[in-house]
Amino acid sequence: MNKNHLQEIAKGIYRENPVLVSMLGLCPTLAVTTQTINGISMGITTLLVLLGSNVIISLLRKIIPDAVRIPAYIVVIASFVTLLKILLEAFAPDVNEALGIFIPLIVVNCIILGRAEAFASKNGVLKSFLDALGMGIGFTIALTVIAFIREVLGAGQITLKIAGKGSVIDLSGIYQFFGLVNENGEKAPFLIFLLPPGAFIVLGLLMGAINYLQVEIKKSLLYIKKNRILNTHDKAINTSEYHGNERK
Amino acid sequence: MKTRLQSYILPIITVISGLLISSFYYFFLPKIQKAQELKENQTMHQFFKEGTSFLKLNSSLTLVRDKQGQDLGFVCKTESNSGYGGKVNFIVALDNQWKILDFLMTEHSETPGLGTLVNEPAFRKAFYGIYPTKDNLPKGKEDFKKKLGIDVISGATYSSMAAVEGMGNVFKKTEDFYQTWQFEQIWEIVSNTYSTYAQKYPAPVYRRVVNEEAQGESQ
Repeated sequence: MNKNHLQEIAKGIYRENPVLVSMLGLCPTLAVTTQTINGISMGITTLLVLLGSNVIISLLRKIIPDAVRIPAYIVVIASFVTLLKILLEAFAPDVNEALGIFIPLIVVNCIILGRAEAFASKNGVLKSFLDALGMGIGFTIALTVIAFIREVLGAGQITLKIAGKGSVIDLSGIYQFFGLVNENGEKAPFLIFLLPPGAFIVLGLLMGAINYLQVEIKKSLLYIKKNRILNTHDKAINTSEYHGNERK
Repeated sequence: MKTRLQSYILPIITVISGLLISSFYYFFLPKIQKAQELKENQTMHQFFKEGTSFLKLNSSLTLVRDKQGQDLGFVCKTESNSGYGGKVNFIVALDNQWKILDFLMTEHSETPGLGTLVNEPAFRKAFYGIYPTKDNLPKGKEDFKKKLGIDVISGATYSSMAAVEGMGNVFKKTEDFYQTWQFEQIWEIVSNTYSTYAQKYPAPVYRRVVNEEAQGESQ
């Protein structure tokens, strides 16, 4: 794997993160992120569909006519989602039950259609695969972070349990430490974070944070670049002065 | 010619997708059915830990018996159409007196983390011991506290009401068997009373008096 391949993956995770930068797939992002495990499982299922659809669309890119490309992409994506749902029903019914309605809704996730239209239809199989991998990982990370913040603030716990496996971490102790308790001494989380307004607040703040981070990184990169140019320039002047003095 | 050929691409992709999905489904259908059955059985065993025989009375109702052949209760499959995401299916465990022992929301399209809280023990507990007629169940969310002693789940009013509707539909699903059961209960009471009476008074009082008088006259 060379540097270009790594850059292709990293692009989806940070520079063009589908949720926090491109603002794609916001419906599932807002709806599913009430529990940490939901964010992780939704991210992974989307990643699998994205990988399959990107590879197939990239393979068929020269055959599919322009006029019918969108319906063709939708058929490919819907087929992958249905196949994934059948597999989950057969081999992991508990995971299928836990994710419920969000699996069929992957079909209308604009990240998948967006990547098919913007990338897979114009690039080779390997590049499309790497793009899907990066975007899928970026989506999973964004969903997990949002779900984590929402669940900690809105329910006072971290759910890492699916299909009867894993555990639920209760944060009652932390709530009691900060005095966030009701009249019975039980933890009193901020329910608003589990409701749609809370999802918008968390998403907005994360978008702001990543935007700030990107601007700051750009600034520091420009600063480093500027300094480097100035240094080479100064060096050049000094060297010419030195040579000039020597001649004198 | 090329354009004409290209116009067949979309139908070809659709047909291939359809074939792929149907063959996949055909291939995995037994596995899916087995998984669903296993899940149902697990739920029933979870409700009735001492249950050894599960006798299907109809598509929605199962009679549960223990080792000695004693009736432990019933398991009823019921549903509601008023969930947040549409149809919601429930499995309800009923005791010998048709009172709710426990229930679980099985197939649904509710929001994970909100609507799915219906399956939380704290919510389910509020229904324990309730005879699931419409009078005993809340009519709206204002009624919840009065009838069940808890509030509706915050952020999941529709799902909470769907659970109530699902419980209210239990007798619709089991109507014939419930009526037979009611008849059997009444019949048992009547026959017990009759046998007690028959032991105390071997012949009806009027007939006995008439017989005794007739015997007296002949003497």
